Amino acid sequence: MFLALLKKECACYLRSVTYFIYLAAMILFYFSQMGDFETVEKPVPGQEDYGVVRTADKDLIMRNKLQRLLQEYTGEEYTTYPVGFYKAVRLSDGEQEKVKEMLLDMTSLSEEELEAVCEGTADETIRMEVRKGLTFEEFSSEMEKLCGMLGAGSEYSKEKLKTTKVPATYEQAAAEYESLIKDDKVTNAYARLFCDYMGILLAVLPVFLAVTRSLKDRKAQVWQVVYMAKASSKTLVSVRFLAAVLVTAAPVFLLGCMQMLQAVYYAKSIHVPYDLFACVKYTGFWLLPTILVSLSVGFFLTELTDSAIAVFVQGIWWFTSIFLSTSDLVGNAGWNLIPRFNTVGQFFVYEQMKEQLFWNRLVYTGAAVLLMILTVLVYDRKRKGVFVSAGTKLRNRKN
Amino acid sequence: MLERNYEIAKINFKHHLIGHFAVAVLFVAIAPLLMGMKNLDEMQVAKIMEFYLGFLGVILLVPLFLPDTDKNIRDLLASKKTALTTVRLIRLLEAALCLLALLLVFLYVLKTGDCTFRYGACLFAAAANAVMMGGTGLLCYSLVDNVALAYMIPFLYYAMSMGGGEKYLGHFWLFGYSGGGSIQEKGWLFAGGILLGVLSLVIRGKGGLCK
Repeated sequence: MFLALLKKECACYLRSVTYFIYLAAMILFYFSQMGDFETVEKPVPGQEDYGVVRTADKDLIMRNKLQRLLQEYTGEEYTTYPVGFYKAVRLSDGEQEKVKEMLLDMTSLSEEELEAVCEGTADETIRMEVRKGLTFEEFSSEMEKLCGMLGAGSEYSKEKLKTTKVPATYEQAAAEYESLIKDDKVTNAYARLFCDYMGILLAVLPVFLAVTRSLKDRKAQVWQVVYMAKASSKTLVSVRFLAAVLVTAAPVFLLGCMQMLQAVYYAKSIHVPYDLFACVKYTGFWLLPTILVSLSVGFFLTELTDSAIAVFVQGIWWFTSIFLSTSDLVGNAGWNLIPRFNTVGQFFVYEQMKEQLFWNRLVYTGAAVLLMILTVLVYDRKRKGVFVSAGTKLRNRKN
Repeated sequence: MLERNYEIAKINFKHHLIGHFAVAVLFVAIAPLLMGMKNLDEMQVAKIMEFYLGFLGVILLVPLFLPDTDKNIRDLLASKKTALTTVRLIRLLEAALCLLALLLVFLYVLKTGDCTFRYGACLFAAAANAVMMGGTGLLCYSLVDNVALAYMIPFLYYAMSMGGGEKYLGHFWLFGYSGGGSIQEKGWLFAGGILLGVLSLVIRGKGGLCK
């Protein structure tokens, strides 16, 4: 019965206009963002520019951040991006004093020199250096205190202290290229880029499929007939959910395979090994939890309220997730629903975010499963007439 | 006549629009938590107007046909003296007024926060985005009678505009003003949104694709 129901449910999705629009959107988005396959050129000595690389060099991170802090302290305004939008934070006199103490403690500047910098009377001999003996742990702890004053989205958050950007040398660019070949086997790097782009749409589009499907029975007024069906609530809801996951994920895997074909061809053309299953691995690990969350929010809230409220909830979640990561598009996972990795390569940045990404994906998968269990409970209650929808509880309960 | 129209508007607000208006107010009210509202220049204000407040059009305008989703209700309304299209037009105008009021209040708050911007230009930028996003949803709603899909289309439009939409959408790119374009270009969006709104009323009046 399960398979027969699954087949019916899949057919139901495949016939819906919402699904065709979902498909069209995915294909359009894929070709508009990744239509041109960009290869990575091997760096050669003597090039004018090798681009920028991210480095985890703690001394460089401390120097860059302290320089920025000095700049913002003198301007008495701190730039933050709580959800991607600019927010200028002005600290109180007391808080400014605390920042001053931080700067005096962590840099080579004396109080007189700092005042001269603030007043713009400092001469060229005054240079800000990181205080000798300052450990990264001390620095991080001070930055944490600073973040407490500035609020979310500042340049000194824990995430932003992991790496810093520096102009690349030939050696660094060559090492980066080697890493793309050896560690990423070319294909893994392109699979990450694919996940980065597709995650943007997959964090919101599946909710529309779930809402459409859930509202369909009610609109067609066949819900009483479905409620009378022999199958248990668990079977009905899980079949509906599984079918939605299958039809949503299938085009993603297919588009991923297209991307992989190009990556494999590229790897072959430069005679390096490749990972044929990169797309399956990354799509399953990176994108599937996003699909599960988006669908489960849609199913749960629609079943609970018999309305399209899930669209707003998921829409706002999507909006905040997107804008939270705009200031850092590479290696940004945290607890964001849409982990970002908008580059080809940079394996060591991925290595740094891998553990966080793993927990992120695991928690979201767990949350999706939990929401689906709740959906089964709500659906079951509705079938028994205990719970009709929000605001009309206990209306149909049998004595 | 006027009294009847006023009654329709009052009942629509009380039983239908109020929920959506509450969501829109909440959406505007949480803005200070998400973004700076003080000392912004015109481009920063324009970014908020285009990227954030455009969604008010989706929240307020798209559910226009929601009260008569049920065919029985549609038939009942059609039997009344006031034409169904008139009722819908009243609903639309009411939603548009709510939208305008929220935008005016938001801009006023920005002005009191020492932000420097041209009031009219930023109001028009936000209104154009809201009307266009709402218009795309409305047209879709009138065609397929599916509220989820009606919300989906503006989201897709927004996502397309974000993903390098200038290249593909031309004058209908949502973020042209904050992206360095002129305010005049917003006229395309505003006019397009109005056109889509009118079209959706006509199509819905004829029963859409799913009669």
